[in-house]
Amino acid sequence: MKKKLSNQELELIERFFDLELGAEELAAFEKRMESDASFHNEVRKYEKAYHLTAILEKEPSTPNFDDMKPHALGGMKPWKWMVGILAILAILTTGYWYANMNDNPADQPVFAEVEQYVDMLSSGVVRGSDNPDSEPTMTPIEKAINQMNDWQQAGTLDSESLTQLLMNEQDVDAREVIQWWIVRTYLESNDIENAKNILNDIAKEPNYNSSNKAKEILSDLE
Amino acid sequence: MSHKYKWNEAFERAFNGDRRLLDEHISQFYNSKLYPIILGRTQSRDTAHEVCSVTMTKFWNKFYIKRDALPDNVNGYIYAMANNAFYQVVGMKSKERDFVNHLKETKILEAINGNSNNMEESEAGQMENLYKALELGFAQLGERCRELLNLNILQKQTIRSIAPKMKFPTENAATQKKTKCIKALRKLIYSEIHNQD
Repeated sequence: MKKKLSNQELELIERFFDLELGAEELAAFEKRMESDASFHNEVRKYEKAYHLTAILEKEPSTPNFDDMKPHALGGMKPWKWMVGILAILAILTTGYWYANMNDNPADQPVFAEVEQYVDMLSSGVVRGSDNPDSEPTMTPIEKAINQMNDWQQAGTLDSESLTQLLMNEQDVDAREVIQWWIVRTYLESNDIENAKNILNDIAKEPNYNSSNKAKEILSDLE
Repeated sequence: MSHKYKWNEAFERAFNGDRRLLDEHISQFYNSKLYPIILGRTQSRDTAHEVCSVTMTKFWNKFYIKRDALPDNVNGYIYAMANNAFYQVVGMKSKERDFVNHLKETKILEAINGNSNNMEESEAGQMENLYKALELGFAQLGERCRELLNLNILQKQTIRSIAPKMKFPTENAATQKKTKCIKALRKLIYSEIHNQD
């Protein structure tokens, strides 16, 4: 006849089925289950008794954990994970695109409006003769626009050089156009505050025809 | 707020008749903490669900039914319980558990009441041995345990109604007694199963 378990061993098994063994005890228990066939066999017998009485012991108040279907992320099917990941990527991409769109002045409606206005102010200006011996016939506004176009083509157009140009310019029409170019340059580099400062100057200038336009742009930027 | 404080508050309210917070807390812990961890180990949703179910049922019995004092680290304690359950479900690959679970409570009660007509032959054979062990074990229990289990399990009376009848000072005292009786019955059944070999 096979040897029955001792009370100490029964207590150990009881605690195992009660899920109360610590990590070390559990590791030792598993090891013994693997190496000691007799112990393994007796645990199996005790298991029958345990599960039988566990059913008898069940109280009506016990929640039905068998029906508790996981609803958190951990319980999601793989395809749902994929859909979730793709949705997150789409949101991130859209957000990044939108953020960049707003960061890129070229895509801002205000910038487009200023650009269009500067082009309009600068249009119709004919460059002087390329012949160095010919007499200069350009007006101050033409000279300023030519200078700014040259800088633009050379890639050296910046607010600093434009400001220098403005400081040396006395002609009202030329100053008006230069200031709008400065506004455009600030908006292009997303320097809204300085753009607004220049627009305020334009708006306050009684001799400018574009004062109202500056106020309109300022209001759009607020 | 610490885990223990949250669990304490939830159990306190449940003991006072409002189980909503405890149910919510258990459901949240089950779904967002325990299940994902176990799923990572089992790589099978069904197995993970079984491990979690065994763990939480035992947790419920211990701390709600028996009202044992909560440990300092409740979440850690549950994870340790789940470790045990993981080995029971995955490591032991238990045919015994499957068999007893398959019988379900109603069939066991039918057998206890001497009616196993609805069982299949193979089930009936195994059940007969189990029932004999149960019957012999039950007969060896003390009189007070027999009365308590008879009223609660066979006559399906609640512990609340049994407690005054059997002159227990409190309902909890009756619950504690039932736990001890079940444990004693378990050892007696094991002894009988051992002797059947």
